[in-house]
Amino acid sequence: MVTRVQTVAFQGIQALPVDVQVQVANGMPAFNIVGLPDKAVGESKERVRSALTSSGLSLPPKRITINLAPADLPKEGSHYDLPIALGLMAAIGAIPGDSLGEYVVLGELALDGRISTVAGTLPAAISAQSRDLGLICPESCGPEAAWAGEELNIIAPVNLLALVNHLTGNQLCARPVAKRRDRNLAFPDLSEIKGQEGAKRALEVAAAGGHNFLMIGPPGAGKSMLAARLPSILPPLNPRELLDVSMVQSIAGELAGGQLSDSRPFRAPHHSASMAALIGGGLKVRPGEVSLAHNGVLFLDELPEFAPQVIDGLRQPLESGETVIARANHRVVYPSRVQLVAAMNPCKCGMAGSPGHTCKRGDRCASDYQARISGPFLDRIDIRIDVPAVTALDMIEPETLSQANMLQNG
Amino acid sequence: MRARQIQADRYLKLGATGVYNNAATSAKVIEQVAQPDSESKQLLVQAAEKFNLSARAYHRVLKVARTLADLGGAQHIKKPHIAEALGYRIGFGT
Repeated sequence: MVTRVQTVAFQGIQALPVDVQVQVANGMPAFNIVGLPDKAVGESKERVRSALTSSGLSLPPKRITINLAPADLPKEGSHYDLPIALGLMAAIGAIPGDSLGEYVVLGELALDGRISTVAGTLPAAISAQSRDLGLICPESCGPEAAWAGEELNIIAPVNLLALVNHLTGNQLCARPVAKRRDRNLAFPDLSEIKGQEGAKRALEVAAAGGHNFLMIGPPGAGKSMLAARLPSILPPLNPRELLDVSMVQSIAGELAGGQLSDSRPFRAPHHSASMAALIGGGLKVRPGEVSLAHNGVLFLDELPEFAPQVIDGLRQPLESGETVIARANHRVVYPSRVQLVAAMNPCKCGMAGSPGHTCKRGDRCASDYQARISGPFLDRIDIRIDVPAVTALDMIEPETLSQANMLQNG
Repeated sequence: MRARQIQADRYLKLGATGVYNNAATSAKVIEQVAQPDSESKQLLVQAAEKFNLSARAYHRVLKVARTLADLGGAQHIKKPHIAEALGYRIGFGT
């Protein structure tokens, strides 16, 4: 007798169906998980055993085999604990097995039976909906799953006992409600910047059309300040964009409390970021900063300080709007249509071009520093402006366009 | 916000799915919606020769010019739009 539970495996932002097959047979007591599990999935058997014991169940001394089909797809992540536990409980008769086939199940188990948060609930919910199945997920991920649709049947229990009570009809769990994070209304305001009218105009143009934007200027000119004010003049995400952004954030585990937000992502990685951190990849093929900034802004401060390979690695995503990460046995595609905003000093000492100043190293100071950015990368920048140092006079003069004015015009 | 709305409506009408602003459009579409008049075309040709603009750069200039025209509420691209867009691209020392 084999019991089956449905779950998912994540490849990029796609959730592929995985069939968890559980068999409890006579023979030497054993507990084996097959189907190319990685270390975390392999360790699930300890978590499942302890969680079941804490919930008052014990595993029979039989030969237990768990197969995660398809057998040649590597299984990664910690969300297989709950489907395995449910399959086992059905196999030993603790819960009715017939209703299990109607749900996609994911969740990590704590040793005391609590169901812990996992990443990727939103793509899993959407996959469940497309297969006409319900979803069983951790309670903290419930609000995220509720965004997938009104008709989706979602069970989001706190622990194993609550889930068993729901499935046996003793005590039903409430359906989770989709929660939205309030927009951060306390964004820094553009009218706080005194002077720099040329830069403000260029920022407006960049915000209106989504163009890539580079600021060059001496230290203290206000480049980082300008960039920080860009989110306040960008429009909120429309529903389609919101879904894409939320899927990537869900896979990266960044949806806090399952709350979605319609403000555009604004990512500002430090210039020591590695290629994998910026573009994506690494251990579980996680999305990089450029994908986390999808439909938003990627701000690179001190552009020449980034490693040259990392900057050039951005060329392809900037042009095609997608990041393709290739591994030995599969290819993962993350969306990454971003607006790039960058800031840099004109030269190593920072003062080239300021009136009345010559660099100690002469013209080479500027040309060497600027040569660190490759030509093809610069070709992808639409708007390049000089942000001159702010003089004392600018600080005293009254500001011209106010925030409200700017929003209305553009 | 108005400029953004203009862009969203335009691309919706053209049936370009997933595109909501000028920067995201393909080269083909931008040539359609941002056709320069004869004056601007002359300016573009001169600039392209002088600054060695690549084909990608040419399309990107058209996109920025289209945004500038949208900001000003103009229907067609005129010379000042192209000039400002070129200025932004050529910006700092070559």
